[in-house]
Amino acid sequence: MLFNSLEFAIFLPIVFLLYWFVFDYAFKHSRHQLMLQNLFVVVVSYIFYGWWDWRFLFLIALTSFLSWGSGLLMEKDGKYKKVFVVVNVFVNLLILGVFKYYDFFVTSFAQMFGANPDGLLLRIILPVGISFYTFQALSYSIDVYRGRIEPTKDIVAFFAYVSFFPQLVAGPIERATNLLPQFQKKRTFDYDQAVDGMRQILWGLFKKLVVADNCAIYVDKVFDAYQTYSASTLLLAAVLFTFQIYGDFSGYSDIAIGTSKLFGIRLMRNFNVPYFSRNIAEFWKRWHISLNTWFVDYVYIPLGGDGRGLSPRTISPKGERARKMWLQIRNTFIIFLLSGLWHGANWTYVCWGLYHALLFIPLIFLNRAKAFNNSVATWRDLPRMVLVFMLVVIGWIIFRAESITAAWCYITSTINLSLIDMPLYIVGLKKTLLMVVLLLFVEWCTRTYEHNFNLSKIPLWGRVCVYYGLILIILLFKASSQSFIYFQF
Amino acid sequence: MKRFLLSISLFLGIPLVFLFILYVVCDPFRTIHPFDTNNTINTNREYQSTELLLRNKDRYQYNSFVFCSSRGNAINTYQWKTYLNGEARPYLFQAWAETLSGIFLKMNYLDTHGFHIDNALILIDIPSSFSKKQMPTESLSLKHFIFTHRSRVLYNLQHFANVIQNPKMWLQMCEDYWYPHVSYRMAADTITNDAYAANYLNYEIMPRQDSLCDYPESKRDEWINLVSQYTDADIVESEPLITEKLVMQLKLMKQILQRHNTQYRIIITPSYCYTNPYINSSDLSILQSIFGAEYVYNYTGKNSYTDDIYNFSDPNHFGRQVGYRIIQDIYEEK
Repeated sequence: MLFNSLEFAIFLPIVFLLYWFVFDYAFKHSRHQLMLQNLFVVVVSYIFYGWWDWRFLFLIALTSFLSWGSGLLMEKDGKYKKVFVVVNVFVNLLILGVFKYYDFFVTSFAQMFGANPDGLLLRIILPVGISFYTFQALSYSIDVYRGRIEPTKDIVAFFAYVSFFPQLVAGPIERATNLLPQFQKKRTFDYDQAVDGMRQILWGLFKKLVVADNCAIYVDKVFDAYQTYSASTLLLAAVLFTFQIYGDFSGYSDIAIGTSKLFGIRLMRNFNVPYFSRNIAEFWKRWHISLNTWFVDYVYIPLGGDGRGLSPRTISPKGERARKMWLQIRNTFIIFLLSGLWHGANWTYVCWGLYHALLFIPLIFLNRAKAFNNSVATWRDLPRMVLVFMLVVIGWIIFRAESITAAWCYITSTINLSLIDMPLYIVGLKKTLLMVVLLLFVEWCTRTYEHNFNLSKIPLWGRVCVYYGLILIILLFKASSQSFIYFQF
Repeated sequence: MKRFLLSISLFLGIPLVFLFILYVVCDPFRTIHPFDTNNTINTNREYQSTELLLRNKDRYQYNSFVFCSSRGNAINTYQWKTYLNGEARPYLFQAWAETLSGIFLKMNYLDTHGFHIDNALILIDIPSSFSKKQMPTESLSLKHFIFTHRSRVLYNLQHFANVIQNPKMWLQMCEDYWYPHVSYRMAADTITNDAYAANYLNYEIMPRQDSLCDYPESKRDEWINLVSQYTDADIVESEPLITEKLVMQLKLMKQILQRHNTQYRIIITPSYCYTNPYINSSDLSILQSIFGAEYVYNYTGKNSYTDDIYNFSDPNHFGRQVGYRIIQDIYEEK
């Protein structure tokens, strides 16, 4: 079920009313009230997912059960804690590998040796959101192993944690330490939180239906036949894809976070105005935050991180700085490589990850990776922001292209004299650019807020006008509905 | 919670109630108030075709039908009548974006409601006649409730839901209601339901210089430039479009036609060259095997009509002169 579909528009109010009036209010004297409410969350989440393809529900159930069971086993038999966590991680990654990467690696190896892979391919369709819920389930068992969270015996709460429908298919990838406790205690309805959730949903719909879907029209046209267009057209399409993917994914995240607020659940922030970043490290602190922090917590730091955690005895004072730098570079490459692979079974994603790792290296050498950790951009930072934006645009070309060769041809085709030509004009382009400007304007004005449509400082009449205005803009300028890009990951 | 529900209800309810009142008053699809004899063509052509048929059926005893999409605009039933026997009383049973499934529904309705189908002309266009969308939800092509067996209320609610989603329509329906401009609209014959542009009311063959008359003035040159970029090599064969389900419906259509001993012709209509792919050969074979090769007339791909831009009022619609000549062709067996 898509957030931008009629089905969801019917599904959400029904679930909302049942959740608060039946499973909260009507059962308020029952000692099983919380369990029943969580069970309801599981059932509606499975309906939400099964709307796409019910056959893959067993995968979510299996992943949930394995992670929940491994937590219990770790508690029961502390001696084999490591075995249980390793087995759970291995099995979950195996499932992910079979469904997402098997055909890709078999094809790649076969091509390497000039063989025909046809007989070895499984040709299974990719279960929507498998990377998201697998990582979420893994975070639980790793956190239990590390002692960051107590293993839960409440299987219903755990299943609700893994399958919670707003973030099931495209994140944010929640941590057990944040989300699971929310399913283990009674939720109370908070008017302000619910209204804020509705605002965030509205803003998410604007990003998706107006910005992303309109950009997609131009982007698809140009990327499908990039050889035939001028450099200026290619550049414009690449810039529009930059906004398409942002509008698409951050729009989804806003709708997911807003929807969760309606149910009294707070999800982590997933995007924080990434295109106002002043270096690439800052970009990665603001883009897909839930995935990047996941890789930092569960891959980067266990690998030694930036070397600060190393014992002084293991490093000679002379080579300390060089060794730290080497560790940081190696680990940066590893997490970007994994991040690229996480996005999909295609070399373009791997290449995109490595490209960003390369952009990171100068920052490591200059020790500037954390330069903008505690500040927000101002107008004086504009040149830096533009530079980072253009570097990110190049990355998105690699990400969007069909193959690495196509990406290379696309990038080289943007460097010629036709860059000064007028780009291709299609009907609706002006409208699309206007909406992108509106998006940037609102995000710039609200860049320090919790989310970009937080209007709590405006008087009621003003807020109502803005809401109606935005609804009108969505209805007037929405493009034909498209699926969310990140579903495929 | 009560406060939240009240706020949401007021926030969404007030504009919805206002729009609903506006919708009922303006009746933009002419589907709420009783059907009137105004010959202006409605946004939903099928509704108008069906309502006019129901209103006139006893008086005119129609027994010859043209089943068509907007391409039937070029068909002149008065001309068609001259090729039929003297008892023929033709009716243009038209729907925008008509599909073969839609034609089957209409034929089935006529069959089960006491109509005689002595003559039939079925116009097919590629690819929309073969659309798999059985029940379109767009107001333009929303199926009349007598064919879908839904209630009139649900039918209107679907139209209303479409209006809600389209703010341009809010102003348009007010303008149409308070300041009606018939001049730019198409009109329909109130007996045969023939469609024609309001500024071209006679049934003479359209003069060459007027063949682009339906196309907005500002877009004419743009279109002429566009079509000039295409060559014969751009005309290809379409993908196979006939599904198993459609084959079943076509066979049922044939049974109805046999039951009524109908004299029928099937025209696979032309469009301007580059938008006019050849019908897929397997699809053509299916149509010929069901309806008989001698009754299926194929005008797809390159032919004498598709070469001349002035035969078309836009890339997808041939002019009345082409409709006139096609009727001549198939009934005089040129």
